Amino acid sequence: MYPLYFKDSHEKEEKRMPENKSDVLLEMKDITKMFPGVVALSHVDLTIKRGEIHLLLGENGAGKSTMIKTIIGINQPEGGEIWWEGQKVEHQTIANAYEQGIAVVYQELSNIPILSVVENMYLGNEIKKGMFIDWAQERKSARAALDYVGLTDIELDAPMSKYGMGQRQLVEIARAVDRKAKLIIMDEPTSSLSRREIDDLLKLMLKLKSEGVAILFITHKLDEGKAVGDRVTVLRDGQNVCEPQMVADVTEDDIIRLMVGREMSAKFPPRNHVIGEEVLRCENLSGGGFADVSFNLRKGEVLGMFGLVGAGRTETVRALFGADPLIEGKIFIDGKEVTIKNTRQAIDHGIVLATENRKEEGLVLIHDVIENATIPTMKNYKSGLLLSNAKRKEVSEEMGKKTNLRPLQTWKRAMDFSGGNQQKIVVMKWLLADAKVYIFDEPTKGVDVGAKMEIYTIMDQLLKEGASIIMVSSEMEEILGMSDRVMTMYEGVKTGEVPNDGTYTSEDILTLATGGTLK
Amino acid sequence: MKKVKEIIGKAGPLVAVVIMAIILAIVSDKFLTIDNFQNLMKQTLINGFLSMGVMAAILTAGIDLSVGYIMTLSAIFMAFWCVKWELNPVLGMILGVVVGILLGTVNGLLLTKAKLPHPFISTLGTQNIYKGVGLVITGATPIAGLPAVVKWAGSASITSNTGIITDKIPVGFVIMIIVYVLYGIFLTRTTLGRHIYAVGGNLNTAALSGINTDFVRTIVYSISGLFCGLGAIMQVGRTNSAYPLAGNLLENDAIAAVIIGGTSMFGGKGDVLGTFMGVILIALVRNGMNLLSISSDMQTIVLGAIIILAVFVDVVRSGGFARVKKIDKKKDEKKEAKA
Repeated sequence: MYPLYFKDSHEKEEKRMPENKSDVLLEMKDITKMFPGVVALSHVDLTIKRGEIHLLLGENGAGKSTMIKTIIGINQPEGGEIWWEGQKVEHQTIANAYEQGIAVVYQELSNIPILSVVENMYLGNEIKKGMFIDWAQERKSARAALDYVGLTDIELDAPMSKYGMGQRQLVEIARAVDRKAKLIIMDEPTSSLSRREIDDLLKLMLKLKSEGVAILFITHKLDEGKAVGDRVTVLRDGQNVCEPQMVADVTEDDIIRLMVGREMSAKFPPRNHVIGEEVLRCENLSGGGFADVSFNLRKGEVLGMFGLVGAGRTETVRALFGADPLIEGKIFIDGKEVTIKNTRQAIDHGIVLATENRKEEGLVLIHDVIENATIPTMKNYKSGLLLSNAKRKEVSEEMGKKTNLRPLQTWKRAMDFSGGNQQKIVVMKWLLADAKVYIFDEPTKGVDVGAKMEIYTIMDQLLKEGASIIMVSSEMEEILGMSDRVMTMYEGVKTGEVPNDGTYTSEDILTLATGGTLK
Repeated sequence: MKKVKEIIGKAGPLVAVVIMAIILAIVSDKFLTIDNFQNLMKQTLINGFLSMGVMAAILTAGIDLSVGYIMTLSAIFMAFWCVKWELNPVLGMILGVVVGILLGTVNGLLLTKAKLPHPFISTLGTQNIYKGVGLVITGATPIAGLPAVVKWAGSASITSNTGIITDKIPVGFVIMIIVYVLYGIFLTRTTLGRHIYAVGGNLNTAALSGINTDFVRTIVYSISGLFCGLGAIMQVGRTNSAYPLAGNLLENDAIAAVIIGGTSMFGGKGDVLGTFMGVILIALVRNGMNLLSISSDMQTIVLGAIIILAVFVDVVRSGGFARVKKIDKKKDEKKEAKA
């Protein structure tokens, strides 16, 4: 199955040979997984055959990640059975999954930047000669596997941090190849890659497939899925939507319908805000990761910022918010130039940022809702010299009602809320700060389908009340569904700006966002 | 139900204190005496103040290893001022506390301006520096003979003629309780207090919420220095002298009290009541073992075990050992059949 040069590799060859010749590799039967308060998976089936590329699709929160974690034994399901190569797996563990030959290439890369390429290749699975690491063997095998995935010019001793996302991802795949994985799970592997890197990756997937390796491919990009996939399993709200389909038999629209369970049009609130005067103008902003970016924003408007991951959008808005230093550029609010050197100044000027990483940067997870919602505006709730907890509770509950926070229990810790409701807590915080310009960086990342619409509704509400929104998003659908104007960025510079009134298609926007020009 | 659980959680150290006291009352007839209680209260003074200081640092996910020697230098300053230079003693006390604040601020600045990666490093460094400075400037000899007004807080007791226990309550203990209450109000009811929790709970979020995190992370070490200065007043009162090794290893008991009191080493979580209970518990352990004539070497072992036990109980309570419950498949099916 594998090229000859893998023969002398360190793994025990015979153990990897299939004992059962059936073409079913992995069978997840009737899997149910619960978390406190939620059923993440409910009686889900998933069957993966040898040498197939199986798509696992579904919206955020549909249960894809939970499924992966269950396959590799991070989660223990409450119900259901796992069968591997025709044998029932009684208790799946990470070690077991490893032994079986299951490898995962995560969306967020798991390799360690300061360690070298070869060290990363064998992290936790070092080849040993006696007590010591057999460097010579490691280097030899690593080289072979890296060549196989197309990384012929990567240096074994260079630190991982020297290489870009695409190459780092391929190292992860090389790791799986070297281990002779029979099943490689790829969790949104293309989300951080450039167009060329994506093409290379898809080709590599087909190559692996032709040699009998099965791939479970999780992606949001349906065109990629369509291009390489054999069969597709769609999950919605933790359940199978239907029997696995042959990819060739379904259209992208079919798949979307299966994923969302309703027509697309109902996914966004109608765009009918009154757009007013200019509230914000940025001229020639430059900073770490972006240069010479200019744009403006009017009252009641949504400016969508579209681009691939790493295009410099997040960097731009962070600098605008004062979270990172701005090297050059002017910012005007209501026509007056302002300086923003730190987040306090931005907040005082009415510019706020709801970050992409809610848990790491948006919330203090161990603190309750009141605490989280009132952090930036603490000094407003004094009675006399001291803070009034009653006042803080009152305003938090008021904002909780406004954003439809569920459950409306302000004494609960932020960590005990779902992704969508956590996002609402972040919004509550900024509502209290009386902001004029809301910057949302990937507002619905990790938010389930139902809550998405709620977040859009809140955004719509903000607009109605006279606020303006900059929305950074990598989801084309969201960009088209929410924006009044779309600005694209590519490799740190602005590459275009088009009205979102139907004159420009998603292909046009994608062209701009990948550095191309419109005819 | 949840509230009840929360209250029990908070009362953990209190329960431990009560149990400890009951045990001591049973095993030693000297425990429940007025003299012993007076002793006990006096024994909490220094650690009581230093613990408040360490707590400020730990609430921001930091640590302050230098508290003992900040206290020492603060006391030495007071002694120089009042004894060697014979200047105004009240002013000397105040300036001594200011010295504490400044030395603490140095720790903070090392963290936020010199960008040392963790206060463990900066305060480990200053701990040694402060210790050395104290030894050098005093020639390693104690300075005794401080004026009565300076020693008052750490040595006097409330005197009335009722003949009951109130006769013997140390003034310092009363002051300490008042300071604890004020500190509690500061932490829970002021903007800066809440910002300390936010910074400790999540530094990034705090920064992106408009909090000047460098200021907060510096000021907590100044606060720590302030409490060391107050601790210095207690120390000179208790021992009638400033001596250069007075602060030796005091940070251990202070950290222990804060941890036993339920403050999270990861920051953002903890309250003064817990720390106070931690201080009392440690004093009880030492006091009890003294009464039972257990050697100080042995005491150290017990104290170490208590620290581990306290945190372990906390881990268990917060569900660190929670196991995934398997659902009974038959039950599940029955339910479905019914539905």
